[in-house]
Amino acid sequence: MNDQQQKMNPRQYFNHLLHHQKIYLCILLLVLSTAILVLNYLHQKPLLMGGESYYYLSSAPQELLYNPLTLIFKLIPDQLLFLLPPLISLGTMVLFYVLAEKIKISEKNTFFIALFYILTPTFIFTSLTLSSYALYLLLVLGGANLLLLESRKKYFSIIPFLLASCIDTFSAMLLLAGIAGYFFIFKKSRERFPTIIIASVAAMLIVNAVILNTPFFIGPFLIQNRASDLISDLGGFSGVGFFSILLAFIGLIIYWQKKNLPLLISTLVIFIAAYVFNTHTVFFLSLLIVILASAGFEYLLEQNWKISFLRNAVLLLLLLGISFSAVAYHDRLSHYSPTSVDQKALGWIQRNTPKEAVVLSAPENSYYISYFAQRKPVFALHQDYRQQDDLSQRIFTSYYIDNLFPLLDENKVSIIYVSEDMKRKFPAQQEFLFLLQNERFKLLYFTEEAEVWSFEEAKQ
Amino acid sequence: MKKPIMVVGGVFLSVLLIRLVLAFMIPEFTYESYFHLRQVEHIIETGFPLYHDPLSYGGRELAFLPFFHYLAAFFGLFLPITLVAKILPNLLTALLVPITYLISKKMTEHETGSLIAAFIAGFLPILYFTNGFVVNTLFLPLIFTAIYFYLNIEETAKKNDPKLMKYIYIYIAVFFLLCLTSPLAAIMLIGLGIYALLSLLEGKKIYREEIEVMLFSIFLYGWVQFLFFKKSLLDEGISFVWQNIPSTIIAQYFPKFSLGVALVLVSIIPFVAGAVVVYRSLFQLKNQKSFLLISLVIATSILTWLRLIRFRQSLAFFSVVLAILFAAFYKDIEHYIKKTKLSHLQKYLLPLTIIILIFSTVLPAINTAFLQDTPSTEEVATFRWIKENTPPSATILASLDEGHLVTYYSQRKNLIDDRFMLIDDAETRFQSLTSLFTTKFRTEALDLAGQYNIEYFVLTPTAKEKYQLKHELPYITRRCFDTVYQNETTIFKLKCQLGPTNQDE
Repeated sequence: MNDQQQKMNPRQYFNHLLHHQKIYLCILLLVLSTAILVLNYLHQKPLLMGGESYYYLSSAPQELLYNPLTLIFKLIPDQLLFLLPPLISLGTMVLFYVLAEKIKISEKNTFFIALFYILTPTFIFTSLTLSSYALYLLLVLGGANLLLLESRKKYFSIIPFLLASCIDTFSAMLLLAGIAGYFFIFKKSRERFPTIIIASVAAMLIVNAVILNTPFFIGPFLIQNRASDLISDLGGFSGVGFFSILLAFIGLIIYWQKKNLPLLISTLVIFIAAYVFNTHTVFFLSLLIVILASAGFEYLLEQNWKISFLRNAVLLLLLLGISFSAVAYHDRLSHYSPTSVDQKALGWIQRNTPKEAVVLSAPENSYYISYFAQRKPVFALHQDYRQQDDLSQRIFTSYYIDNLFPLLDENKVSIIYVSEDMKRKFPAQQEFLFLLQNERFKLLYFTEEAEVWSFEEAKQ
Repeated sequence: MKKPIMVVGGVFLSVLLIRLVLAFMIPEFTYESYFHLRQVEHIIETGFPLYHDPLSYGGRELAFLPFFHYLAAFFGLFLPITLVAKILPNLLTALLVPITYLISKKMTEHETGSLIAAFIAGFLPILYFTNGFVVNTLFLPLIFTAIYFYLNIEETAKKNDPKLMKYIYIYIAVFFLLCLTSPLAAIMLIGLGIYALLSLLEGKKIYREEIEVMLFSIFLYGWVQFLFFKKSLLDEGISFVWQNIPSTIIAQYFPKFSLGVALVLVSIIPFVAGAVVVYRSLFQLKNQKSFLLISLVIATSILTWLRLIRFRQSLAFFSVVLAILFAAFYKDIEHYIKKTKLSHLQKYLLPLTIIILIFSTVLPAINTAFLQDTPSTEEVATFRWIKENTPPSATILASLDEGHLVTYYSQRKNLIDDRFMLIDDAETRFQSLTSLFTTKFRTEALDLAGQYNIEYFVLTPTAKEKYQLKHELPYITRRCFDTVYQNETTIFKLKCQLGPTNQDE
């Protein structure tokens, strides 16, 4: 063999990557998750991130008795819980590959879906947080894999589907619609099995919604911002990058010319509507964007470009854009709460304040307060978002104590936790932080970054 | 063949000469220019723009595209920077003359009309801010060069001409520089999008090469903006596009469309002619050649309506497009006259047009140049005085416009200037600035001065006029302030600070 033959050209590299994609992409996923865990460990931060994790660790066992995540917590010790999100992500990836083989998704398409999934902030975040929707996806993929088995083993698919339908009403309805669509539109099956499985999921949905009071949507666990919650490059907690959205538009145009357009449009409309109503469902919208973006990317790659160097440049720009969004998000994650400062200050509250104390802080901190301080927070965004958001606005933008004090008294606030983030975001010379100078507030604990105040009862 | 080139060359040289004469007649630059001058000087000294500015807002991060500053710094290596700042923007703006000629010629293939369009582009009143050392002076020639090469790509793709690749390379190079010059390059992308849509609706074929170039432009633009404005995007979210301008002055930056102002700054003849050409191209003739320019006009109008582009910037772009469209108008008029019984009068059309244009564009243009908003020589001398006579760590209070004079001439910290992006408390600072110039209460002024460590208060005639102050700041007393400089401008030094009341007094 001569030198030229020995050297692999870029196409051969790409083919090698495609052929061994399961190994490479799973390693990439593990590296990304582990890197953040290690960084959190080095910064002495709690390993689990996000309000949803701490909701499941504190309030959910009482509120959502039959949620699969709360059931899992009964089996796994708290110290090992940080391993659960990366394992769910890895499991999702493996099950996706198995499913892709079964339903014959092309190697390239599988590769780009998996790659964009790994590099999308929504899914980077779910590999670090206890996310019910991540578990839902794992269960649905597991169920779908079992469902496609020809033998009687397919009856086992009922188990993951029933578990998946316990998460919230919206996702259960999606599952029901998905299974019904598969059997009656695509497969046009007349067996008994579809009826059994659909009836089981529907029954579980009704039991959960009517008897067990499962919420329609899980969350939100953050104050919603409809622009930045979708586009991570605008500073959101998760979402997708700009370039993924651009690619998804191209993907949408491609699907526009295909037969399955009604299905795509209806899915898109449902996911967008759900997102507008509750941005925590960005998980589903992101998933759709990833699928469309991978279709868009594959289309650009496969097209016979008249100017080939433009094709290479466009694809390079896209890959760099998506990777940069992921890297920038990765970089920001280490600054997200809960920080070691939060953990210390909330630990102080747990040790030094009465158990019945009600703690006021930014709504996002509520779940950390419940878990680390083991005190009742004023806000619980997942319960009545609008009312809670309105209350937080009124409290934190009060200009006068005459407006603020009745709100604090009404909500029985006795402790105030001012986090690092609040000190950075709220104006110091007016509104809430300025009003802390009043004599009814006493500074109990402070570091450079955070403060704990008490709110004394009014003297008669 | 040579004659038109000589005419265009002649117009270009005349425009450049007039612009330079006007620029040198007015000694200073427009207020905004001092920010760019400082950046260019910093690049000459260090090789890098000043992305961390220790003086503006008392120390802040900046986010901007640096190509204009590097270009000026390159010339600054051979010439004094103040000379570069006078010559370069005027040279770049004068380049619109040949560019307009080339685009008009490509669109209409009408020599006289194209020459008149070039003449109009050279004397558009909105472009006669001859003392502005600003990015827009590079942005406009670059975007119209990109448009010219895009038109060439379209034409050569149609003919399957081997020159296609050459035009694509040049277009890419120009568009890349455009992306590094101003975020307003988005006008080109939105314009191309509307052009694709219009073409689709009117059954005009879009060649594959055009689509490929469009796709590349979109991703290149997104990539460059993402690299330079990543932090602004993360910090400010979607409001990044409004540049974090305080709500109290947003109307000043993005005023509502005023037909009167537009007619004066664009000039009435190209405005009316442009409107007629757009109407006829879209609804009567379905003239596909002007689709791209019309799309750009629509894109600019949408962006202006959404308050995403400053009024003056959009008007500047708009006016050049209208100048180009005038060529088509002139061609149509000429053809029309030929068909009428007045065809013998056709020879008077050109001189008549030129006379009308001299009155409607050249004179208002020169007038605009004399009405530029620049600091007076005395005001500049005051800011220079500050550099020599105040401690280097001092913070100086000056009006919003004068913020860059504080950092450029005085080399001291300012309270605020017009670069609001990445400033968390821009709104609060602007309110404080207004209070410091308008409050009657000394305690309020001392409290605000204490918050921002302001030691020197500069009151220029411009600030007096802006804040409608008859004499001096109302809270100034000898007990608390020393007058350290007095001329037309006064500088006060703060002596006291707000503290607890002395019980013995």
